[in-house]
Amino acid sequence: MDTEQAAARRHQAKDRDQFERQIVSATPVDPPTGALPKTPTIAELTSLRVALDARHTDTLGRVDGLLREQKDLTGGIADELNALHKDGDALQAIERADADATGLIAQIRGRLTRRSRMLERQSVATRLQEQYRSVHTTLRKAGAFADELRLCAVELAQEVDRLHGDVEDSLSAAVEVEARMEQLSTRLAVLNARNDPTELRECDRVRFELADLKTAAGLHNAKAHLCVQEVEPARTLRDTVHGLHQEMAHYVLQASASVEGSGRRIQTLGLAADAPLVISELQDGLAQLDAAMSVTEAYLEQAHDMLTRVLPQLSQQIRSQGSRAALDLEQGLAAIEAARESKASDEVLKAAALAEVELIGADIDVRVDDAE
Amino acid sequence: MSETALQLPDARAALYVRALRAAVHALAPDADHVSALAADTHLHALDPAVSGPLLLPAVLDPGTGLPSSGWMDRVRAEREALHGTSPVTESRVARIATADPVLGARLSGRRNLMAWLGDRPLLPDLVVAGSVLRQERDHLLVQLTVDRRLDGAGWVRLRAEVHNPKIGGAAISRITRSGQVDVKPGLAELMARHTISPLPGVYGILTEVAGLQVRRMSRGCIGPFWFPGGPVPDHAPDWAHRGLVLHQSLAVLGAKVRQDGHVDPWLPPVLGERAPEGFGVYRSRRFAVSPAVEQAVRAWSHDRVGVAQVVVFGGR
Repeated sequence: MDTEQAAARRHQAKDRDQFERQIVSATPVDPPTGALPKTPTIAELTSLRVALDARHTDTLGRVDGLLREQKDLTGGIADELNALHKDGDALQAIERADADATGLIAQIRGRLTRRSRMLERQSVATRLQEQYRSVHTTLRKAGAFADELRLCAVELAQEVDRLHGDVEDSLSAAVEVEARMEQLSTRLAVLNARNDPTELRECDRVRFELADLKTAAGLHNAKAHLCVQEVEPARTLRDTVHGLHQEMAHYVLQASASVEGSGRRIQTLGLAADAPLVISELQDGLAQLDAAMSVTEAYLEQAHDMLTRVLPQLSQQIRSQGSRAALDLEQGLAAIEAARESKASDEVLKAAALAEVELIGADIDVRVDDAE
Repeated sequence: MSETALQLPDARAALYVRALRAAVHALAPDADHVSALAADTHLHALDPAVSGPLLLPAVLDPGTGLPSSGWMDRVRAEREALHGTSPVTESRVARIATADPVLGARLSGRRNLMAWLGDRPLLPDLVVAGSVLRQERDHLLVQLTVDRRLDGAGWVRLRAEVHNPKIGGAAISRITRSGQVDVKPGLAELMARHTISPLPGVYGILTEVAGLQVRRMSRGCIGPFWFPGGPVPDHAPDWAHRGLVLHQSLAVLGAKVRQDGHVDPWLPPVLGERAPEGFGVYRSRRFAVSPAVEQAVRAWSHDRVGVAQVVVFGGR
């Protein structure tokens, strides 16, 4: 009887086995089509945050330096233009005095002071030419500086793009990991339903892999989150430097055109023999210098505003965004770490229990929890 | 002097500069003209193949068709502006070149320009210098030179050979051991002011006002440069619109010029001009022309002055 019952039980068990095998084969766990994306480690994420912070601090310092240099340059140009203008006015006054000396006394006085006027005219004209060269050189420096600003803006734009790329990569890695997790969860559900003690090893392997993947997904998401938070400060810096470049380039273009125009007149001043022509040339040259001056003054005001208001605000904004990102990352990583530790201790406990069961050979029903 | 400068389309800048450079090369200007090496260095620097878009826009002097003083000055100013700075590294330029090709080209242009210029001489906007030509016990021969780029006139060199100037006098302050003559600012300004005044007038100023003994004076000028679509005077011959023509003129006033000569087919003799006693005035003009107008220029020149000093540049 016992033997018959045992045989019947064995037969039922065989049937059940066959049935479950069919189910399992109907819902196979596809092996991963390729290796899953490399999971960043906690240490890597922490150092990424530190590196991004350092990069922003460095860039802020660079922008601050660029702004100060910009202010010095434009301030220098303004001073040089002022000096140029003053000498232009002085030369104009000398030429006008010569032209207006029509009365007898004026002519006598004119003859007496001729030599000193000539010397004065000489030195003013020479100074004018030297100052023109100097202001032209400074404007070329400003042009090189505008290129430096543009370079900085392009590099920041590339960083923003790289951060976006990192966010996209991390999110897509997380999606890939989660898809794999879904497959494994299904597999685990089937194994649980079958409840076959011979498959306990497989069960544990799947459960452990699931736990590992959950950590990986968490880390990928944490990286995406970190990069998302870094995008905004990088973008703000990029836009600031881009704005600086646009203003500087516009300024250099306008001022250069005016200065080169006045330079053309200044260089030919000495050739004009008669005073009215000199005065007219000077007037035109000075009018062009006026245009350069007003552009410079407007630009200096903008640069001052940028240095005293916009940049401190920007620094503050970036610092607070950086601290928030750091805090979020620390909390996120701590949670992942805690989850991993608790999962690991579960695994240890269960492995010990299974070993015990195998040791006593008891035919007991071991329940396996869903890893989720 | 007040004419509005002309701007070349950026795409034509390289061709223009190369043509002008080839023309200067063909003329091979001698010591009576501005330095050919300096002109060559300066023009090559303007070529967008060297400096990229850095020195653009290409602005021309409407009076001569040569590069405007502003365009030429950018080369000097750029060199002085970057003196002592290090250019953006090549790798940094390469990293941004795809994202911003214009900036990449400017930065590369700046690197190339600095590499090309080095310590090479450039055409100065204005330089007055002096040097000793001969120094014997009882004879000192000094040469005073004004090099000047002048919108409306061209690249001009005015020279005066002065015999036995008084050192420490009104004109010359000292002579260095290397033979360099330090010209007093007053004389330098005077000569600069009269770079393009008629030679007999300048001679009078130097001898009577500055008290110098001058035996020879010359003025060499490069320009104008005529090219299709460029500024050409209304009274220029038809061929001036059909090819490339660079003028190189020379005027000499000297005791050794026994007989006045005028072989300048472009400018007529100066009416009423009187050379100082014992001096003669000689004027000539050479042309560097593209093959398309060679025959026409030769015929025109022969017709006007009986000779044609023409060199051809550019392939046939």
